[in-house]
Amino acid sequence: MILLLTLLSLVFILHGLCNLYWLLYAWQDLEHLEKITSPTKYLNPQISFTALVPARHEAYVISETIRSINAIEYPDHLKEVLIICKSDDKETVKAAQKTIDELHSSRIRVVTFSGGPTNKPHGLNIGLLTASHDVIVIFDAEDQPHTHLYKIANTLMTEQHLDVLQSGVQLMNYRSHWFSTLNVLEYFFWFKSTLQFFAQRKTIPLGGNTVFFRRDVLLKANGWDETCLTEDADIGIRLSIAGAKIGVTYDEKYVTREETPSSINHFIKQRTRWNQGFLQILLKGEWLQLPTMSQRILSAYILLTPYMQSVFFLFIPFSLYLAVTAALPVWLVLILIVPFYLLVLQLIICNIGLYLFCRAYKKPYYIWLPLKVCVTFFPYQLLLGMSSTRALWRNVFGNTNWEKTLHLNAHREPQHATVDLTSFVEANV
Amino acid sequence: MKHWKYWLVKHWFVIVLLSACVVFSGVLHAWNMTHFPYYENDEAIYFTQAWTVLTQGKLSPYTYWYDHAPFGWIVASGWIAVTGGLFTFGFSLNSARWLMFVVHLCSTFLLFWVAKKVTKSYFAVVLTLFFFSVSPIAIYFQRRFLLDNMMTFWILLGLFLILYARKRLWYFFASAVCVGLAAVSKENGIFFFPIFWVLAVLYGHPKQRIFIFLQWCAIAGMTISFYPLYALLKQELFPTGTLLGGSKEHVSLLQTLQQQTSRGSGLPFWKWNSDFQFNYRFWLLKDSLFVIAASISFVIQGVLGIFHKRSRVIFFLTLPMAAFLMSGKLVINFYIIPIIPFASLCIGYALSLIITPVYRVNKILGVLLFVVILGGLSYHYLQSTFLHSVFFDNDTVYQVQAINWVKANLDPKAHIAMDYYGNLDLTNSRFKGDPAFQNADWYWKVDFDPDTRYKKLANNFHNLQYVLVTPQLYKDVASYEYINPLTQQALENSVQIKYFGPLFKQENDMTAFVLSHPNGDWVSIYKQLSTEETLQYAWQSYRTHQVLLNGEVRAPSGSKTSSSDIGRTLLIAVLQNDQQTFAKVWNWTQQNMTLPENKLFAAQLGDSNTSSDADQLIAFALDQASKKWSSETYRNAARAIAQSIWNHEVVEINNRHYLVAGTWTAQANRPVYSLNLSHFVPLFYRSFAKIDNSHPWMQLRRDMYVTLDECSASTFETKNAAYLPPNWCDVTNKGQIVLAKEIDPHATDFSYEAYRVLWNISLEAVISQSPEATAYLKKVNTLSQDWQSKHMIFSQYDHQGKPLSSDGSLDQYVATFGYFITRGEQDTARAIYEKYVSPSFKHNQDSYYWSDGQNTFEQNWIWLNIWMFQGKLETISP
Repeated sequence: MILLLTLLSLVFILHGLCNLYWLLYAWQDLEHLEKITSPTKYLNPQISFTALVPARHEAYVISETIRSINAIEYPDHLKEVLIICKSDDKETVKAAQKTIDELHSSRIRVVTFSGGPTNKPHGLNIGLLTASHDVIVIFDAEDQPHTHLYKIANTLMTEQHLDVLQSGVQLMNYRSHWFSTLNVLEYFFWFKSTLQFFAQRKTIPLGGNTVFFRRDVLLKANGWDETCLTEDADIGIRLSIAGAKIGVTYDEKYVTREETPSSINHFIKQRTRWNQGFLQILLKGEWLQLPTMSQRILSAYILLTPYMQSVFFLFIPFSLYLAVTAALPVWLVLILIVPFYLLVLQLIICNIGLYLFCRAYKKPYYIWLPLKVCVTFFPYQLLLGMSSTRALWRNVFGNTNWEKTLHLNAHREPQHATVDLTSFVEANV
Repeated sequence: MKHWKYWLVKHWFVIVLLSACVVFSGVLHAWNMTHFPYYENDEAIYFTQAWTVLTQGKLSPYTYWYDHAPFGWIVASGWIAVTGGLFTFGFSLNSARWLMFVVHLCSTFLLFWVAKKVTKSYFAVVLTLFFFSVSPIAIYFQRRFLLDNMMTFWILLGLFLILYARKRLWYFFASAVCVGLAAVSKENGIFFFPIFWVLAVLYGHPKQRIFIFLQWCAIAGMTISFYPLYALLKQELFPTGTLLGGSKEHVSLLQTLQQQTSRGSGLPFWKWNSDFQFNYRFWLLKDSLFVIAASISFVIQGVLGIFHKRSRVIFFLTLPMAAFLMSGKLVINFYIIPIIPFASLCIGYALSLIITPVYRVNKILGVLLFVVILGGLSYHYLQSTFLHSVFFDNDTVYQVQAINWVKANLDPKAHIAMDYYGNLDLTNSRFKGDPAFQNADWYWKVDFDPDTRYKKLANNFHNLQYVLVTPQLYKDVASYEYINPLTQQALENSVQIKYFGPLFKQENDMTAFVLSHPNGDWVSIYKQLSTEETLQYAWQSYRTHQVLLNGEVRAPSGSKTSSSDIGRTLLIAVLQNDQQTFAKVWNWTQQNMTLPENKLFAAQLGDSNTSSDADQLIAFALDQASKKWSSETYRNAARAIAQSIWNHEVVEINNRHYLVAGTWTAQANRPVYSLNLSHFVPLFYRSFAKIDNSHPWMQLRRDMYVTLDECSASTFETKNAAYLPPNWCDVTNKGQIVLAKEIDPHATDFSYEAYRVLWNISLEAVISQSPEATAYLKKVNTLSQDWQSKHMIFSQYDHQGKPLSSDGSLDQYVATFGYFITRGEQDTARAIYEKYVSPSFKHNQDSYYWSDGQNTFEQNWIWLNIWMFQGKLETISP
């Protein structure tokens, strides 16, 4: 019993320290901060971009997204936008086509497909085959990319000879729900700090959008795995195995803004998909082909992290309970306390992150926000835990269908919506 | 490889300088480090605790009472494990000294980089390292395994991490851990907390500061929190008797902290008798140059700090400990340790401020000036006698010899109270066959640790057979304020059996000896005396101090020599087989105390009256002397005195004989005769009956028993009698026992006279198994009842047995030995001996005495009663 508790404690101490290290990696060294910051001087446009926007039941947000992508400042002949829809999603196709018509742009097209499976990687693969430019960039249907994004990608990919560039994505609606603050912070730390660490270790589960790929690299990798629920993470691992040079940039000015899931239900579904996707990647075992042992260990650890984190949070109240009630040796109790301390440090870091987020995005920072973070911290971890459990459950029972996240434009002021929000929600929730 | 070569070439100067500084500092530290200074008690405390962590998984071999945070000795336990045990380097504390050597090398390395970063001057770096390494006061304390040295290392490491973080966040966080570890190595480390926090925030990049500001504080706080958390888990955080502390007796971290913070004189540092000033003078004595230079340069850095960042940083780094030392709280001499590196930095930088401008004008002149300053400082230290001691004295040799002697000569089961320096070596086997003394305990724990004092030693100092005395033990034991220390009691009942140390002129007074030889390089081994040895030493002391060269028994100040004291002195001389002293005293007595008219003895020198008890004592002592040394002269003298006693101090009324108090109350035709029942010693009459068959001594014995019974049973003028012998009573010429009003208003009380009856009667009871004696003492119940109910025997009772005083007296307590033994209450006799009598035994070098040793009667009276208590009575035969 003592040995088991000691081992568990040591494992979670290690896990807690890893978490802290990832969270703070960007600030750990000023070089990291400088490295991740977007260039202020841009190279002349050399690379041509094809933006892939897979959309399903996104009639409410697609118009705004197309306009945003179209507004990216870059020579017209070097950019192309493909809105990828399934032919049965008539509302989205119609909304997209209407917007394209209004914009009078020949470089924006709606690409439809009719076969299965009905999921994002399938759409992306359709887009990949249709795309004609050097670099493929993925946007989600609710994304609002910055107008300098292509210039930044052009500069970084050219200067650093990158095969892949992950640009920052940031959830913005930090006050929409009780869980949205921590959800926003997750993105903040993930894209600003953690991904940079993974990139530096050449083992990176990529994000689902605002990620730039050289088309030839993607084609060589046979595109996205259509059976995987987290095709983004999967392609990241596979490209890491292939030795692709992957870079990360995060600059508050240029991040792609997104919204948090619209409800707890959607949040859990989204997380379930991600966690299940990670599990699929783990079970596929391709990560074992990573060239070095440290990469393999890291990738396995990354893929297990959602589960580790859930157990970590369950372990803490358990360990505190044991520390107070069980007649354990004092040294063991002191060790049992350490994961709790690491959790407190995480909480402090979250609060700092929230302050930095508000400052960087010029959002109001209310005095009660730290309290909200503290109060919602544990329930939020419970949501993550539930999602992990659900993902495990689904995977065990072979349920791998795609649970789509509803997007309501909560991160921006809609100006060009082509459908009514109420009817849209009624139809999709 | 190429990178290394490039790096070496680029940084060759720093590498050479750093290596030189570390080697220089290491050599000075290591040279003679296991011989000087002496092994100090505190070193052993922490190293023993390190050993306990390693072997028992506990923080202390005794009850851990949170006197200090434990991280320092937890690290040391790792050192012991890594280096292969306690005795890898010889004496156990040598291992601790080697650990300090490693810590010192690391500290030197860190200080080099700290000085380089803060001052940006190699002159300052070298001068800083010079003072840090050469100052004898620095070496003196840095060699010792003290928690302050461990704390200083963590502080320097924390500072190094901040200064060389180069905006790397984890360096700042690591520095927070270091400051936390410093505080849990020695609590004083907490004083660096605010300065380091500010420094860390300032040295961080603006984009990192918010993380540093909050996380640094949290990490340092969490690191420190393990200490109170440990106490909380052990339910030892809050004091007993508080809401959270409960009612069960236990040690408490908060209580100890409160006690620790309230220690010290509380006087402001500028007061001459403050703790700070006292230690400042000690530091000046050891290294005046360093102390004065540090004081001046600290002020200089403070003033310059208003304008210059570097001076400001140096000043604020020095400030926490300087403020602590000057806070008016307790200051111990080694509290200077954490300030030494920063004080060295103050001096080094101040001197560099003189050299650097010259160097800028002319490099050669600048270097020359530096060399001159360094040479001057070196010359000064070469003249230092203390530095000479640091490198050439051997203060530990006698300490080691003492432990080796104990191992070779004493019983491994013996209980020993000792200075802690040798405890590890005593309690462990150093090699195969080496005895382990499991009952050797640190004197502090002997007195203050409940487990040791009450369980192991049963709160009885007699269970301590030996005391290993060092100056510190002696001073500490003498300075206890709250309790009756077992160690001191044991020491006062002990004699020195071995001394290891330099050949000082031994002084009679131990206190004076310790004061004149405070350096802990000597050890005295004291053995506690058995009862028999106590009597031997007390007699040797008595005959030296109470018996003058001419044979006169010294009288207490303000009084004259009494024949009673002479009688008891003669009797003791016989019992101790001290013929020489006996003869000397008897000769003087014959010449100066004999009354020509009756051949008896003056009650006091120059008096014309006698005291019948003295006359009997002298006669009995002479009779015993005649038997022991086969002297007819003494026998004849005894007979003559006995006959004279009968003739002049015994009266016959109505065919009953009475021994009166003296010749002054024996004249014929008196209406009343004064009887002092304490003059009746029935055993003597058995003796006198053998040497003087012309008088019916055994009849007198029987008559006096009857008289004693009547006096004890008579109510006199009270309602009832408790059957206690009165101090005085009278017998009328009609043979009636009456109240002796004219003698003493307290005549019927049982007090200053009457208690001697107990010894007198019990003497016959235990030697001759007299049924009358036993019967009488068994009827005297008051004293036994009081002991059973109150554990007290009062010094004065009225005739009804009611105590008239609130406390007892030593003379009276000893008188009850025979009484309790006769009654079969030996345990009570022993309890009284151990509780009241033995603790009153003291000694100063060659003086052994009870109480204050001034009262001659008290000394010989106690002696005779302890002689009865120890039970070897065969030296007397009636």
